[in-house]
Amino acid sequence: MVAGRSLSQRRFASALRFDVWNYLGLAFLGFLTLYPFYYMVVASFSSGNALIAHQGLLLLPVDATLIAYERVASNPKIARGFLNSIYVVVAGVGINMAVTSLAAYALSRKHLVGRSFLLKFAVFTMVFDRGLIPLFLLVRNVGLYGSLWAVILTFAVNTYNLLIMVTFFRGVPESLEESAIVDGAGHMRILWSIFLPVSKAVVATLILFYAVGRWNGYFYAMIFLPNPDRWPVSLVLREIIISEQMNDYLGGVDVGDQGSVAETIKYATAVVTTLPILLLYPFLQRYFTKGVMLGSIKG
Amino acid sequence: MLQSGRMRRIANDRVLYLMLLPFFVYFVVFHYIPLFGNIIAFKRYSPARGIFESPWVGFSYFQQFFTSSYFWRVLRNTVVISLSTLIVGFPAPIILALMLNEVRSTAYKRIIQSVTYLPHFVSLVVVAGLIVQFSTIEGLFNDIVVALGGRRIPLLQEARLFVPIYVTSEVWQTVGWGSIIYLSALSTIDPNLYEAAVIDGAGRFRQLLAITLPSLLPTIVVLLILRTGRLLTVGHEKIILLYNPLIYETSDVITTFVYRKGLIDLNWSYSTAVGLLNSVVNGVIIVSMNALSRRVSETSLW
Repeated sequence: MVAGRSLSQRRFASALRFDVWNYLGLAFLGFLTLYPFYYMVVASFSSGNALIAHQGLLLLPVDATLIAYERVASNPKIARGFLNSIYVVVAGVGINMAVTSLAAYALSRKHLVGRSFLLKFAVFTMVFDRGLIPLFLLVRNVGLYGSLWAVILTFAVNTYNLLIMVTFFRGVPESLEESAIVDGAGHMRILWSIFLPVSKAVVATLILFYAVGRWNGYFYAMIFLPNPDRWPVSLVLREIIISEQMNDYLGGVDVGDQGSVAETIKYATAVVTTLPILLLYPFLQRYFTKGVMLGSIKG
Repeated sequence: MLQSGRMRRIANDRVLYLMLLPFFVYFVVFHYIPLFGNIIAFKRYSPARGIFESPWVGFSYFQQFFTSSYFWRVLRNTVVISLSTLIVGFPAPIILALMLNEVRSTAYKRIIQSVTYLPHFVSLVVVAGLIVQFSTIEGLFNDIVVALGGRRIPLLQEARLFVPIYVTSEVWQTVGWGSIIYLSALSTIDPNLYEAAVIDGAGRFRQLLAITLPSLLPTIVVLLILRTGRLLTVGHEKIILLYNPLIYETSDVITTFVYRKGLIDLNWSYSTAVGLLNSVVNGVIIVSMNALSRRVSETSLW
């Protein structure tokens, strides 16, 4: 039978078979990526006992309830966590962008004396890690221990992001700059009204990179902030989901139901923590590929 | 004359140096001072006496580490975890990019890309939290184990399962994001090459071997070299969310050991010594790999 078919027919059949498998393989991969998040959402709307009893693929909430979200919404620790996270993101990204763009502008000036030294000065810190314990002791010695500013200031510049911006600024046409100089504009003015506006894509990319890192970060908050009142929401989530320290979150729940509710509060907290990222995701999508590509260009 | 011209240029650029001031202060205070602070690895540091007053002890903390049973354990775990992640995690984004490259429907391609990039943006705490939840006795992973005819066990309490769980989750998190750079390399391949191949009668698979892979090779080589530079770098942030004393035997790496010895047990100097050793070795590997990358491709990190 097969021998009866022409070469081009066989080739067509094999190409089709390849396409079908390729599409199916990618669909399966997509499913594997998405399902844990889907599970997290569905589980957060389920009742805990039904969830524990449930076996196999979870597609819809079992014994649907909003109790986990009621607990999350009425919990002062989680609300405070959100405020702390917003504070860290707003102040932190503000500082990140200010320091990064000021430095990137200066470092993109080709005639600047010491330019290559200063770049090496920054790159060296990528090669040679400052060390966890020395950083911790420094934060304690300068009196930042316990303050959100410890987290904000210890990551004021990401060298990789800085290099992305320097590279981009170097590509800004000199003619744009020269006309501004003729008009008597100083460096600050040129950066603010020429460089930043023409680099919107890079600025957006870096804001998003910094913001996502700030929002998701938990480790340095964990070591610098002993007082739970200062915790960002990621650290509150860690307490709930990893250390299973649930007592603060179950106030008002019947003792008999606590195990059940504890189970779904974990998922609900994970959902509300991830929500801001998901809302930003369309914007992230638009810019981040560009950021990755810019990063691959030599700084 | 030359010297004064240089001075004049510096004076003219004082606004630029002012703009660099926050950057400079940040790196001095939060990077170079801690780098200097590493000298406590050679001292018996106590917070009461401070860095300068604490007595010198030479290399005794390094010696203590080399002769302890922890040395081989954390070194072995670091290498095993790093190499396994490299072996499974390095080809994965290349394969994904090649698969995506064969998709002709742009809508389908874009959907799969959006979905596979997502884990890159989700907090480690959420990712680790899901792994922990799924690995419990009643968890999703155990439901799957039972469906495949196995028995329920607390998966994260089994030392032998840590590396597979860690590596799988790493690939899950990074495969989509990692494919971006290959996809962009693929998009620069000259379409005429494929047309010529079709005329010569080459099928899809033949085109993959003869055109696509060779075009991708320079990117693959450079990324592999740069990735190798991080061979002894396994971060602590994810592992400390996943491990527990029952599985330290396979999950405790250099960085988690530094964290625990320093910030939990408060062995400041000992922990700093181990961290410094790791930084030095990593620095040397990165510099050599970067030099190698520059030799083979003229591409490098700096």
